[in-house]
Amino acid sequence: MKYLLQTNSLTKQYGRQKAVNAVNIHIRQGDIYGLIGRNGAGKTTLLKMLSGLAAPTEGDFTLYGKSGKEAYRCLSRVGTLIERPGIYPNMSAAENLRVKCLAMGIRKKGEIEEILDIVGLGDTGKKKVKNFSLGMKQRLGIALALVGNPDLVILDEPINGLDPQGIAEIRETLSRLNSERNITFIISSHILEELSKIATHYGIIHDGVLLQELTREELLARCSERIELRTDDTRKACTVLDEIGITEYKVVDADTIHIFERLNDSGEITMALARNQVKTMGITVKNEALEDYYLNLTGGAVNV
Amino acid sequence: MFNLIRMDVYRMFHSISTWVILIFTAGLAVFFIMMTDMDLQAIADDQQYARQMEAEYEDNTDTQLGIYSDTNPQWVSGDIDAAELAGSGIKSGLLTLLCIIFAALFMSAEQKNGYIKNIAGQLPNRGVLALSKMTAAALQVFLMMAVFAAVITLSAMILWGDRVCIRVSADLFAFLGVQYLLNLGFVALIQLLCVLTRSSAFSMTAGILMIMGLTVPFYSAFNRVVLHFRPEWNFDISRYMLEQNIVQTGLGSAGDILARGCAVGCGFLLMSTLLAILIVKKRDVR
Repeated sequence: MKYLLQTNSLTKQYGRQKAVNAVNIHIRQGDIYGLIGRNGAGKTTLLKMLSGLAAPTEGDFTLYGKSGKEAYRCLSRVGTLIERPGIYPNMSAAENLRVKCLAMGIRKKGEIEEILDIVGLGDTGKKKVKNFSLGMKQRLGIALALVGNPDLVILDEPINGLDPQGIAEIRETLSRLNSERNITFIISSHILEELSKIATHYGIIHDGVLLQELTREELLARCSERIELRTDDTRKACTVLDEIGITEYKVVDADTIHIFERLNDSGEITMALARNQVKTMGITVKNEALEDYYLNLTGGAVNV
Repeated sequence: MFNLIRMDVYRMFHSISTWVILIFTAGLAVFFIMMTDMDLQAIADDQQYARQMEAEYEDNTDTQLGIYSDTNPQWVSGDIDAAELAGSGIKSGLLTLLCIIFAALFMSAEQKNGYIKNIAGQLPNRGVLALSKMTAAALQVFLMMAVFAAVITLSAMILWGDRVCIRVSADLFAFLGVQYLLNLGFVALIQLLCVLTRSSAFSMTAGILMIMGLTVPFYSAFNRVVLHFRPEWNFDISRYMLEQNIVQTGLGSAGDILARGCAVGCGFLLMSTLLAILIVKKRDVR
């Protein structure tokens, strides 16, 4: 399969510590790739390397099928917003965009107005950026990343510090750009629930290591609904489940069994267990949140 | 490269600090004229002070701490050459002081507000960012020199009327050219310090201390070390430093002083810019 961006054991080491350790991510054209990880997991360092702002200690990446120095030449087609929007506070939004247009040699008329309209800053006029709200600054950061019609846009924590309405607006803008312009996005965040509303693919990074790459469908399947059955004798309970034709289940611990089929038949399951003298301590229908899945994967809840 | 120069020139003229510095340049020029006028009045009133000033004006090669300007005692009653007056202001280091402040603010702005992250990755060679900023700064230093000289001339005309004359000569252009290179060299050095330390405060302070002559003890110590090992060299490092050349290069200075000033200015300009380019290119963007 041909990827738009693929990393090959990308590593960044500061002193003895590996901030990013042999990461291999795979991104196709049109993906919205959500990079999930807690603070300090290595997301920003990884994105900085992919943006050409930091040089890898080891490994490299393939961009548009090109690797090595050739890949770095393709970075002109990559827009970035790393950490926080880099903006001149005493300039207006249009002037900030004009600075980047000049740097990129873009002379297309109406480009600045078009980008400002896309991110919803079309009516800011001569208002200086220092008087913008956090959400407006964040949107200007995204606007700057869109200058030059990039095919790939890398956004590091774009919804950081935004209110729910601001988050929804940015989510809507990114979805629209993805569907209308086929722009590929890499979005990092530690706000998992928000990322889950927009991303089509996920990469879970922890302590600099990419733990898992999965599609939205795979993630939903893993966080799928189930019956959580707590009983005093799991071995006997498994026999009963087999007898009544339930095969998709998993013994989680000495007291708990997860059943992934016939979610509406909890009454029948309880009756069957009772008939076989298996005591039901509890039976509930649950679904694992993305956050729980992530925590189970990374093994902790610090900073998430 | 041309696009980046356009960007930096646009940014420079849309930056408040650029205009504030230009206003301060004009203000300092007026201040300089007022101080010169007070000096001329003191010379006219006090014969002993006049003799002291005359001696200092004849021999101004001594290293001084702080910012000083030369007042020609003949200006008390004779014609005042605006070119000589402006030259005295430029070599005093006042203009350099503002160049240092401007350079520290302008060169580090992109890094401070993070704008560099929007563009650095998309450039095939981000080292040219240092070169484009230097080009824009060269324009600003030229403007500052022009404003400084023009305001000095204008203020002098207002204050002293017909006694002010403007004598344009080849010496004047040679002097202005060398001073321009020396000031540009200073700007390049400040850029290097900004890139190296990522601190505008450090770079600005270091530059101000240099032009105020506070590096003299270090130069003196260095000279003593050289004297210890190579007494026959008669080496004085300050002759090859920017601040001393700015102070010593005057209107009508000897050819060797102008040549040395030119070489020192070019040397600092080239070396500092090249090093800044190299560091920006090789180092990760924070």
